[in-house]
Formats: sequence, structure tokens, C-alpha cells
Amino acid sequence: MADFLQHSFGYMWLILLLPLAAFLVMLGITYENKRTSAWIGILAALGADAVSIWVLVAELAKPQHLQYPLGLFGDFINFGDFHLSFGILADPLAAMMVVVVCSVSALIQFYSLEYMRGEEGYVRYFAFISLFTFSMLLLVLSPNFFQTYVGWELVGVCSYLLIGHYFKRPSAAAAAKKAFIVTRLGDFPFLVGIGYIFFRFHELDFFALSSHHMYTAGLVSVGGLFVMSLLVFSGAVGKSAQFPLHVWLPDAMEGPTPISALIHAATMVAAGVYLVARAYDLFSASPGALAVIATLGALTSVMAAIWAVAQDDIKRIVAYSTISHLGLMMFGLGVGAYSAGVFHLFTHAWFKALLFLGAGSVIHVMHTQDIWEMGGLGRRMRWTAGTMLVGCLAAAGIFPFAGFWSKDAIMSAVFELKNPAFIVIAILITFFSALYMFRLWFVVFTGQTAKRRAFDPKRVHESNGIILLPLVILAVLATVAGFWGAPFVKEGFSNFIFFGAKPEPETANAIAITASLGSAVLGVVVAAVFYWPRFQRLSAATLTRRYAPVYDWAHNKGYFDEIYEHMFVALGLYIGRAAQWFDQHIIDGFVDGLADGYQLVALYLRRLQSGRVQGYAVGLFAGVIVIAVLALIFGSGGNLAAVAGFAK
Amino acid sequence: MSSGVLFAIAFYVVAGATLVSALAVVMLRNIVRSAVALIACFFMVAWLYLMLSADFLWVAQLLIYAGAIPVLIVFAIMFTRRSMSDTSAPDSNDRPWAALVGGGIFLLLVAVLVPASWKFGDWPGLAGTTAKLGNELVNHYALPFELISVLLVVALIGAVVLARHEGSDTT
Amino acid sequence: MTYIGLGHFLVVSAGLFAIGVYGLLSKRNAISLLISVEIMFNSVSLALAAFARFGYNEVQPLAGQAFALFIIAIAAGEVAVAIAILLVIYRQRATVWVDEIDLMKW
Repeated sequence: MADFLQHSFGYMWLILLLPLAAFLVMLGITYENKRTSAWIGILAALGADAVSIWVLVAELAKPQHLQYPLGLFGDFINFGDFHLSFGILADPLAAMMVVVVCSVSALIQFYSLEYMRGEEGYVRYFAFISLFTFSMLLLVLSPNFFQTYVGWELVGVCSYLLIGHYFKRPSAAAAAKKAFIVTRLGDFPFLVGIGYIFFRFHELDFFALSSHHMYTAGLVSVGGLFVMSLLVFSGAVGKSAQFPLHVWLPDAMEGPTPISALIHAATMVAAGVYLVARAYDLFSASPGALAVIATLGALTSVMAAIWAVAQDDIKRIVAYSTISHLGLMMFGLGVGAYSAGVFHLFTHAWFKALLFLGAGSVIHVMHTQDIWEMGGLGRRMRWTAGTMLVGCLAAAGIFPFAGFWSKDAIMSAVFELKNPAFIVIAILITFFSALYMFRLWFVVFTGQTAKRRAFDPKRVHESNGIILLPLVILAVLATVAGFWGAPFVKEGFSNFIFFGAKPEPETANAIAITASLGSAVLGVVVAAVFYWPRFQRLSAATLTRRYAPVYDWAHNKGYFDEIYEHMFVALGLYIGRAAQWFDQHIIDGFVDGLADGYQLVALYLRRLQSGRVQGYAVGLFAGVIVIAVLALIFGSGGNLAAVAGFAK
Repeated sequence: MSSGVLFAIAFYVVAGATLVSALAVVMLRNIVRSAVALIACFFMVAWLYLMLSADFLWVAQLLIYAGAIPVLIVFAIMFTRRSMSDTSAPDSNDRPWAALVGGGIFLLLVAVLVPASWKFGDWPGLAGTTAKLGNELVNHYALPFELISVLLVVALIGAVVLARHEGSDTT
Repeated sequence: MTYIGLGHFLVVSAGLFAIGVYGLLSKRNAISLLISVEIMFNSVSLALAAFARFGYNEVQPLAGQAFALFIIAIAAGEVAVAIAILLVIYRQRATVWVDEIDLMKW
């Protein structure tokens, strides 16, 4: 048995090859055939998933760190002490992440069979999902910064392609561009950071860097480490949509809904958190950087959670929920709760995919994304409503669903810090998470279906099995996934994926659990009071009117888009004014005086610019002669005879 | 007469013919005649190759320069009919300048090349160099050799794409 | 005895090159320009072949000839592409007179 498990590592290249092959086959061979292409993508993801699970089980049986060069690319560039290589890394963290990526990708592709039926660019869509999966796997399985960066950029490109799937729609094209450019703002510092690491340590391999304790060996000053960490973290800020680069993620839902699920659950945004986890040696060497990560994460998380409460678009709510949860993961990683942060990444993948696919199911039926045009869907779409409820419970962190355990682990770590600001923020995050999730659920699934023009509520019916099957599977996972890291499980998540020494068995922090669960339940209750028609005691409308500024602030996502716009516009204006002054007073005065003179000269000079190539060629060859003669004269020190060889 | 003298006479005849035909190429007003002179010029250069024991180059020159390229050029002349009929002014106004620059280049080259102290090697007296050249091409110059083949394919495709009539991609 | 040395060939080569330059600068017909360029190619090949013959060494025997061969191959490709470009220009502007093709003039 142990042998059988050990063999799994020899097949890890299949995890990379299958999605890539699927992508190439789809584009090259089966492009005309929609169904075949889709199934190739699904089967490739399933195959990769099977190998991943095999690897994960092997890792579970015996955690180990293994690294393989990737065939021909194993020594990609090699001169001097400069090595760039591609490889495959097997360790608990990678094994866990690979399973998440492959599973979510497979489920989403299966779901898309139905969701994308009849859409334009069907095969293109599946092909890019396969490429996206491959890129993410390349990143996850990367043993060094270089390969990580390659995967990183590939993920960025794929997200661009998929968010812009409906590229004929200007808003989708703009959103794709925004996602790409905003994440690039983070990618560039990341690249600089990688360069910094290389020129300090002459090494990019994660394992070599950590096992030789290079970060802490005093090769780099404390300030240098801090800068290095922040540069690398910048990449994560961009990809994982942390403040202040969070603005791209809500717009990214211009893509098809399953793509949002893929981006939000397993691939794009997870990359940032994964990077922080992967390079945690670097961050842990710099307490200042960890503090920055924790603060930014907490800030992002609580802001996004508040904004989510004031959104009307079902996907936008879930998108802000993602930002909030990513912030929470960063928060956890920042406060040193490594296992907890990674564990939240793991559980979040399931329930966020579930929430997005559920939202997709609703959108597929209703053809609208505005929650106020929905309502009362619970009776007509029982499965969707039920699975969405599981997703909401998990996201809100209600016992015993997945989100509860991971969120609780982070909460425990935060409470142990005894930092009042962090504790308050953590409680606020939990409260608002529950509030916006259940606001969504109550508004969409309870009460009466809002009547729109030319819309008959009776025609609302449940989506078919292809859409429901992934929902049910994800709902089951969102329910049980959390038990892996539950405090009462002996060999749980934190004993599998951890940083540094093997941790002590965790003792449940009773205060943390109470606070976490209490605030979550409070959030649900508040949501019910406002939005569940049966329990409605307060009108949300009057409240938003009374506190209009607060509502507007949250509804407009903190005005960040506007702030950025104004910032750059104002900056441009200032530069423009200065330039104008300079232009009018200095340059013009100077130029006006010279202009006449130039005009006079130009009258003669412009005859040279005949546009005839031959005229230029004459000048060229004449120039060659002149230069050669000059070189002969000066090169010989004036002794022409020596040059010509006469004086041998 | 020794073989050296014979060789010298042959060289002067061929070299003279080369230069005269090359001059004819640039002097003749009719472009078709100029193309015919070009064939003669390339033919003569081929003989110069033979005098340098470069027998493979000799064949290549005959096949490609004296054979294929003039055919292409003649085709080009025929396709651009105006250049055949319109012999009004084949030379540009820059002609004196061109003569000056051309002469200058010649003088410069001769002044540098001829008196330069070259490092001479020992010619092993090979009867033919084809076998040796072939060996060199697949050993020393294997990569450039392959690259050349790629380049030729690219040039071929590029030429086809360029010269194709627009809107005729249905054929 | 050998009366003919490297210098003789180089002079022929230089002459060919200069004639090519003259043609390139003085002719109006684009095809004539192409022909002139071919003459210049030939002059260089000739010089290389002469170097191969008179500067023979065992380290890299016949390097000059190999280069000359490459030049011939490249020239063949160059002619094909150049003539294709020429035909396109002729099709669009109905001229092969280079002084009428003043695309580079602003």
C-alpha cells in the first residue's frame, strides 16, 4: 500500500500535462466539435484530479518534500550561477492545493456544459479554462520563484481572456483590461522582488532558500528583508485583490459566472494567498512585513464585508465576499496562523465555488443579476436554494459548516494576540459576512418574486441536473471539508500543513469560538430582521435613507474607483498645468525666436528629405567613405603609409 | 609557357570579362539587355570560382546565379511591363554623385585591401574542395546550415504571401 | 610560378562591388537596383572564396567557401522576397521607378 502511494509522485507530471494537452487538442483538433471539446476538458481535469488525490493521499500517509525536474525544462537556463528551471514540487501544501484546483476546475467545466450551452465561443471558453487550470497548476507545483512567476503571468493572461469572454461587450472588455492592468501593478514589484532575492541569495528555489535558512542568515539587513517581503507581497496584493488593488475583482464578474467561480475559488485569487504561504519563510523572517500583511488583510476584509452589504448585484455581493475572505486569509497568515490561513483557503474554495455556481444557476434562470428582481425563488428552485443555503452558512461561519472551522482557527490566533483592534475587526468581519450572505439568501429565495416587465414568475423553474450535480457535490464538500481542521480531530489539517516545527495539538479557544459564532449568528438574525419577509421588523429602506452617506459609501465600494480616477486625473492636471506654464513661458519664448531662423535653414535643408531612397543611399555610401578615410587617418596616428601596408 | 603564365592570362581574360559585363549591366539603357549582361557577369564569376578551386561554388553559382536568379529577374521585368517599354530615362539625376561614390568606394577598397599584410595559409593543393566543404557544412556549420533552410522556407512563404493577389485566398 | 595572388582577386571583387554601388545609386528601375545588389553579393562571395583559397588553414578549412555558399542561399531568398515586394508595389502604384515611390517622404 505504501509503495502504491509512493508511486503517485512519479505520475505528477500528468497533472500538468493533461490540462495543457486538453487545451492544445481543443484548439488544434476538436475546435469545430463543441461537445467533444468540452468533454476533453472535463476528462483532462478529472484525470489530473485523480492523480492529485492519489498524491494527496500519499502525502497524508507520509508527509514529505519531493522535487522533480520537469523533463527537458528541468535545466531551462543554465549559465554561470544563473539557473532557471522548471520542476514539480510535492509537499503537503502543494498536494492540497492541486486537489482543490483540479476538483473545482472539473466541477466548473461540467457545470459549464449546460451553463454555456448555445453561447458564442463555447470551445474557446473550455480551451481557456484548461489553459487556466494548467497555469494555476504550474504555479502551485512550482519549486522556485521563477516558475511561480511564469505560472503567475499565465494565470493573469488566462483571467484576461476569460473575463473578456464576451469581448464584444465594451464593459467586459474594459473589465478584462482592468483586471490585467491592476494585477500588473502588483506583478511588477513581484518581479523586482524576485530579482532582489536572486541577486542577494543567488537562488530561487523555495526549498533551498528555506532549508539553508538563507533569509535569516544575515545576508540581508532587516530593512532589506522588509522591502523584499513587501515586493513579493505586492504580487499577492494584486492577484488576491487586496486593498489597494482590490478594484479589479468586482468588475471581473463581467466574465461568465463559472469563470468567476474558477477565479474566485481556485485559481487567480488563490494564487496570491498561495504565494504568501509558499514563501512564508521570507515573510516570517520579517516581522514588519507580517504586520503589514495582517493589517492590509484585516482592512481589506472588513471593508469588503461592509461594501458587500450594500450591493444589489448577486455576483458583486459574492465577489466582495471573496475579497473579504481573501483578506481574512491574509490576516490569518499575517498574524502567524499559517495553518489556519491556508486552511481557510482550502475551505473557502469549496463554498465560494458553490456560491458562485449557485448564483450562476439563479442568473441562468432569471436572466438578471439584480437581487431585487428576484425573490421567492426558494419554492421554485429548491435544490439551488438548499445548496446556496449551505454555501451561505459555510461562508458566514456557522457551526458545523466548513467556513466555521477555518474562520474559527484564524479567530483563535487573532484572539491570542490580545490586540484589541484586531479582535474588533475580526468580529466585525464575521458579523458582516453573515449579514451580507443571508441578506443575499433572504432577498433572493424568500418572499415574492418581483414582477418585471414581460416576466412571468411561474416560468421560473429549477435548473437541470448538469447544473445541480456540481452544486450538490460542492455543498457536501462545503459541509464536511471543515472537519479536517476541526480542533477535535487528532491528525488534522494543522498537523498536515504547518510552518516550522510541528505544532502542539490545538486547544479550542472558547472565547474565540463564542465570539465568532455569536457574531455570525447575530449577523444572520440582523439579516433576517431586515430581509426575511416572515420576520421582517425593520425596513432596510428607511435605514439606508437615514444613514444615506454610510450607505452610499458602501454602495459605491468606498468610492475607490472614483478616488483612483480622480487621483490620476488630478495628477495629470497638475502635470499638465506645469507643463503648460513651462511651454508658454519658456519654450514658446525660446522657440518663437528660433522658429524663423529654422524656417530659413529648413528652406534649404528640406530638399535633402526628398523621400527618395536612392538619395539617402548616396549619402549613406558617401558617409561610409568619409568614415573609413577618417578611421584610416586617425587610426594610424597619421601614418597613412603604415596603414596602406607600404611600410611593413 | 608555364602553367602559371597560362593561368595569369586566363585570369586577366576572365576578370576583364567579368568587369566589362558588370559595367554593361549598369550602363545599358534597356533593362532586358542589362539582364542578359548580368547572366554573362555571373557566368564569369563562376569561372573565377573555378580558378580558386571552389568547384562546388562554381556549380552553385552556375545553377543559382547564372540560372535561377536571372530567370526570376526576367520574369519580374515581364510582369512590370512598363519597365520594358519605358526606356526614357533609366538613370536618375544623382548619376554623377553615384559615379563619384562608386569610384570612391573602389579606390578605398583597393587602397585598403591590396597593400594590406594578409596572413597567407598553405594551400594543400586540393584538386577539388567539394568533399571538404561538405564535411565542413555538416560539422562546423551544421546549425547555420539548418537555419539557412528555415530561412529559405520563410522567404518562400513570405514571397508567396506577398505576391498573391488580394482576395484570391479562396483558390 | 604563380603570378596571380589574392590581391588580383580582391581587386576584381572591389571593382564588382563599386560597379554594384554605382548601379544601386544611379538606376531608377527597382529591378535594376535588385540586379546591382546581386552584383555586390557576388563581389563579396568572390572575396570570400579568394580568402578560402589563399588564407587556407586546417583549423577552419574553407570557411570562406562556406560563407560564400550561405551568401548564395540567402541571396536566392532575398531575390524571391524582393521581387514579391516589387510586384506588390507595382500592382498598387503601377510603377517601378524608385523616384516615384517616395513613401518615406513626410
